[in-house]
Amino acid sequence: MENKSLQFLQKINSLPEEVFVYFSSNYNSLVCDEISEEYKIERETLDEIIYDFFIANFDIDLLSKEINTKLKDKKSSSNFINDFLGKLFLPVEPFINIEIEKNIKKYGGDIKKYNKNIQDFDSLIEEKNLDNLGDLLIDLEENFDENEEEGVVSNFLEKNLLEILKDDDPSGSQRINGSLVYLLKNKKGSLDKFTKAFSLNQELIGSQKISINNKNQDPSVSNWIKHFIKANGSEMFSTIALAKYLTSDKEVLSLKDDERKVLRKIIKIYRNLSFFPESMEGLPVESWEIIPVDKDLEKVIEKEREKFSLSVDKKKLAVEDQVETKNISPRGSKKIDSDDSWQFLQGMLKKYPEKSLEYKAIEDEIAKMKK
Amino acid sequence: MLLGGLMIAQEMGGMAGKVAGKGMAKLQAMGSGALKTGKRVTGIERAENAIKSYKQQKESKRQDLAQRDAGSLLKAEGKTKKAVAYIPQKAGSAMGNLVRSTGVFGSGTDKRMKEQEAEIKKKEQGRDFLKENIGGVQGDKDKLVRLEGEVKMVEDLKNKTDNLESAQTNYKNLERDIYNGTHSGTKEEAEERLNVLGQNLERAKVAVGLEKNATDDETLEKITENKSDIQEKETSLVGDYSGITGKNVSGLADIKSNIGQDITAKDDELTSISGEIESQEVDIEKDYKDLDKKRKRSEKVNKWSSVITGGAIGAIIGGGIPGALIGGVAGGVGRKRLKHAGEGALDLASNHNSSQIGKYKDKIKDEKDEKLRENMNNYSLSGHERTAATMVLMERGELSSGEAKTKSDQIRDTYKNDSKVMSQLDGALNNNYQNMTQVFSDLHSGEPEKSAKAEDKIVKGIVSGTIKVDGINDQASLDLIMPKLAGTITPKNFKNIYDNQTVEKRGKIKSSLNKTNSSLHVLASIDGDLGHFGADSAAKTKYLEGAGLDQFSDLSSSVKGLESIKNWLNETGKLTKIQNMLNQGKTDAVLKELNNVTKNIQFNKQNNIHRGIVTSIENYLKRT
Repeated sequence: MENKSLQFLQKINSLPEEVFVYFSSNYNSLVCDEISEEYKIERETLDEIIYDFFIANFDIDLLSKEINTKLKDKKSSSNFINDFLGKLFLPVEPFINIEIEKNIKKYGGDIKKYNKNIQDFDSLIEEKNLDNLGDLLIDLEENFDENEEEGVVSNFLEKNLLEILKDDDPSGSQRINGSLVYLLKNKKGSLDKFTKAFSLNQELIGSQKISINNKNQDPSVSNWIKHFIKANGSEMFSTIALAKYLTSDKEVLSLKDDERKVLRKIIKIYRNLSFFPESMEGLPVESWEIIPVDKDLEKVIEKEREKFSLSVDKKKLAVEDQVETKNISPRGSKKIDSDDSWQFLQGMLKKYPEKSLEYKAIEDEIAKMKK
Repeated sequence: MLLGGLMIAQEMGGMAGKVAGKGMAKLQAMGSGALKTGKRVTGIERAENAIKSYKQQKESKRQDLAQRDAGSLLKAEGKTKKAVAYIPQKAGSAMGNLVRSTGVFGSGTDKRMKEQEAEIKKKEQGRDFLKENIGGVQGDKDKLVRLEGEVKMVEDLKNKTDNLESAQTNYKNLERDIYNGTHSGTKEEAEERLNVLGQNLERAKVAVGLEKNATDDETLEKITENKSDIQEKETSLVGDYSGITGKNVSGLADIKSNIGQDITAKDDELTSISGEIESQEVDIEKDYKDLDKKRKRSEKVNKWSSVITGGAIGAIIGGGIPGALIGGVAGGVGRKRLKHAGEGALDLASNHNSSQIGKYKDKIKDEKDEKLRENMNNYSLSGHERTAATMVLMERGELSSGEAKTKSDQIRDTYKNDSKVMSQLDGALNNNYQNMTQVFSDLHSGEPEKSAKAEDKIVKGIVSGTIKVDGINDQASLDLIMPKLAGTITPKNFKNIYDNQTVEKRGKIKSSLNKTNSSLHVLASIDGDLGHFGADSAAKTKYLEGAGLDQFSDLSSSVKGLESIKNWLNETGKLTKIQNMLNQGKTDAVLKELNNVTKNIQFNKQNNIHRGIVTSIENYLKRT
């Protein structure tokens, strides 16, 4: 293998990092041992074939010729090629410019046989990413100042909340929620600070004054909450009560639609903070959020819809945030009439890994359609 | 101050007063119900009981009781705080468990840790088996050594018995010849010879334990007895020897000619098993460390799950991607990708402004100056968009000094509490308006303390992603910052940053790295060349001790890197020894030598990349 190892290293170093990670893993070693044993081929010879395949830029015709010269049992050469490609290269197919799947089929192989190899590859990458995440968190812990973060969150809640709530991009709400939930978990007294900061918010929703205890007041966040409490009491309330307030209160009705949308979020923040953690009861904990977040599914669907050129009523697919999902009952008009839409979502489902967030969100939508 | 979420009720006044008691009750009810885990401390139990009791009261009494409970809890301030803090803590723990079980961080993580634990147990069993095995081999070797001794004793007895038999025969023959007058020479001469033979016979008798004047019958009996013993012992030794070695031998001579080699072979076996046990011990220890690291990682992820699970998860953990998106290959199956996200990708409130500004900067980086100016002053756009446009113009040097001053003051005023935006602004101002940046002014102030603090701040900004290295173009700043950065992050992470720079910037970065140890490590990693350490072989050894697989791959995939390895071997006096080993085909010994140096990686030839690296080094050393 004079020089081949050098060329192999040069080639693999020029490919995406994922390929290097995979071929340096213990898992890959075990797969090589497995192939070596099954086809009665020396491990060193197998490695040479692997090196040659890399060096020859994944030329399958050359691979086939080499195997014919090196494999004792010529009858099993097609099976060998399939296993060689399926177990060793199919997992990294998207990272090397070669159609592995197509070639396995060409040699009469069954792609499904190699699903586990792909899953193992994903697990390997997941582990590496978790390692990277672990390193990142170590760095974060060294530099993270809880007091400073608490100050930043309080500042948002008191002075800069409306911009976040009005933004179509949910990342602001998600970031603040991340810190909020972390601090509520880990820092004593932060709930007090957040509720106080929120209660002092003087940002305005609407332009007309509102009446509280027969006095006209600025339509500030702080005053709107007092207005809500005046109308609904200070106990925990359902989203039905919220919906009623938003759709029947005279002063709320004078707000524009987008202002009313912001007010709805404000009242929810009031509930989520004031009654925390009861306000999160019954929700999967990873879905806890103080600031309601509009999920991104609509955007994903929009993108996919363009590809499929299907017309699905946007409104019918809009996704409510999970806090609302939990509390509004019955959900009402969520059924989709079009079979196309049903099929479209089913089709989309196949495009995402079973454990991905997208998969779960689409699955939820399908479940809603069934109701 | 009231507790937790009850604060807002007081702030709101009026009916909100009711919340004080009720909120507390619910908070505690969740602690004992939905989030119930583990034992409670007495204070908490007392609080819970108080609340449980109050919950059973009629509506008319509820408010009073609630106030009483809240009041009594407040009096026991320390315990109360603990009780309230307890619930969110448990909520956090529950969150982590849920996050793990729902698979957000990979459903397989915990399962894999369990599998790894089982693997370690298997390895321990293997090691224990070897330990038992080594006892058996040692026992066999001891038996062979004993056997060797016994063979010598039997041979000795055989020689002595043969000698006695021969001495007696010689004596008896001459005695008979003298008696018959058939002896050679004169009678005196014959009697003289008989006297000598008699003395020989006496010595031979004594040698086998007889009296020197033992009778002929006694002598004959001894010879017969010894021969029988020797035969019996020989049979027994042949049996023992075959039992230990598995070889078929015909007698003592065979044993004698083989046993020396057999003992040496057992010694080799012992050395080999000891080596294997030692290697397995190292392996097991490494596995335990790895598992421990994973457990700690899991705990850390658990603790910080809220800043990962929201919008950040895609950027940090990544999800499946359609194959066609990366390789241009038509395959629908998704694959996970490696992610090297920075702190900026985490869902932290403190990242919000800088992330949004960063996002808009990326979006508009190729826009013309006119468009950016329009955006900078368009107040219908968000503050983030306007700030992004301003910063890009600052980076391009397209603002007048007056404009830059006004705009930077505005940004500082808007985001005064946001240190990350401040770093971002400093980074944008650095190239063309350095006098307006506090941190870069401090960096070049010439005052060591001020400059060191500024270095820290800038490096922190680079690590968190708010300051981009590609935005720092002046060599003087790079000269001060890069060595500090090299000492802060790993060579691998430094290389990631370096690889993302333009050729020109890479040159500047390399020349900024001075002769500090961490800088040399970074240079060696960037270039895949130990030559940066000069003749300092100890520094090279240290680098190799800590190097990762990718660093070894870089070193062994270029002639320059391989030559630098060869030079290091030469400097440490190992080159000739290793080349000799290679010439003799002792590649395992070479691997061992290499693994003795590399603490971070233990190479094994079952791994494709490991084999590639080791073979590449071997080939180069053999060739030159």
